[in-house]
Amino acid sequence: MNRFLLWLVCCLSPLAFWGQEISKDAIIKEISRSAATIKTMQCDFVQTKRMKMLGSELVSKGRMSCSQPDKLRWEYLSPYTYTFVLYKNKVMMKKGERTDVIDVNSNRMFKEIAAIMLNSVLGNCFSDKSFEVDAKQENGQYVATLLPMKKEMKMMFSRIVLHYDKVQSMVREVELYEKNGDNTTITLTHVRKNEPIDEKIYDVE
Amino acid sequence: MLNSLKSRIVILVLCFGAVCQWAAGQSFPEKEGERVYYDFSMRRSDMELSGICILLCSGDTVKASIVNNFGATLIDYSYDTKKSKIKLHYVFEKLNKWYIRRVLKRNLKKIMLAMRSGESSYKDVRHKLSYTFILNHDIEK
Repeated sequence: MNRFLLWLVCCLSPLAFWGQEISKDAIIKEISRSAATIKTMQCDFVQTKRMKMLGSELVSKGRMSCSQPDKLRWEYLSPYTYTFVLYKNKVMMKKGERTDVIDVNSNRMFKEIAAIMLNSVLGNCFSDKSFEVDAKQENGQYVATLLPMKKEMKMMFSRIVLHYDKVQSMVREVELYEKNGDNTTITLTHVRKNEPIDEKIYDVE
Repeated sequence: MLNSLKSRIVILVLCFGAVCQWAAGQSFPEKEGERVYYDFSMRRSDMELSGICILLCSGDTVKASIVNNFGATLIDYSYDTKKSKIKLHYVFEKLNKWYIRRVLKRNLKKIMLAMRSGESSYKDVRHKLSYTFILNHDIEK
């Protein structure tokens, strides 16, 4: 009988671990740890904006490259071309013939936009007090909901949701919710981590 | 011979007018559910906002959204085509001051009229603002 009980406990105890919820802090720790290992990242993206007012979607496609800690190239290729480059403290925006270069230190809004673009795709949003964070496991992935605390970010978004792929150890999707009821989903595809990137693509001048 | 020339000129003018009418119609949604897309920009000496303006015909109203190049909405508004009135439904917080809203309403009304006429720019001389709106057919595809 004792042997039987012992055998039963050994069989059932893994089930107890399997059913255990992973804590929010553990999820945040894992995502942050993974983000720290990413030195460079390149991917394609599909951005779908759902507009409440018009009851329709606007789909755009592009590609992204980033190098930690402060270099980002975000390029829309269709249905319009628009390039956004962050290099240290400067932002370059190019649309058609027009190119603008701005010092992010003189414009807090741009500073916040640049930071959220870089940090959301890397999963690096938890280190400062910019967001109130909730995280849970859902359908085999981690889902982190970020509520903006800073004024500039609050103006733009009511919340940001990151979908983190546990197997690939990276963010696969970013959802941005706006105050007017619109929401945007950015899905990352063909992701390449830690491959060398020619720094020329971050040239802002 | 003169009559023949006169009638040719009249036909030419009529055809030209018809083409203009057709072009203007394409620049503004007239049928229920029809959408028109513009590359949109608003400029002043010290700043520029650019993105996409989407117009949707809904009965006697045209609903519209102006989104920036990242897809964030700057303005949601509607235009009553019969009364020629603008209603602002949402304005990005940075622009959401009463004096800016007042200028926006006035200018958006002028812009709607300009779009209806097939024009591609409007200048608010008093506030030193210039707007350009160029049809973008690629987005429809």
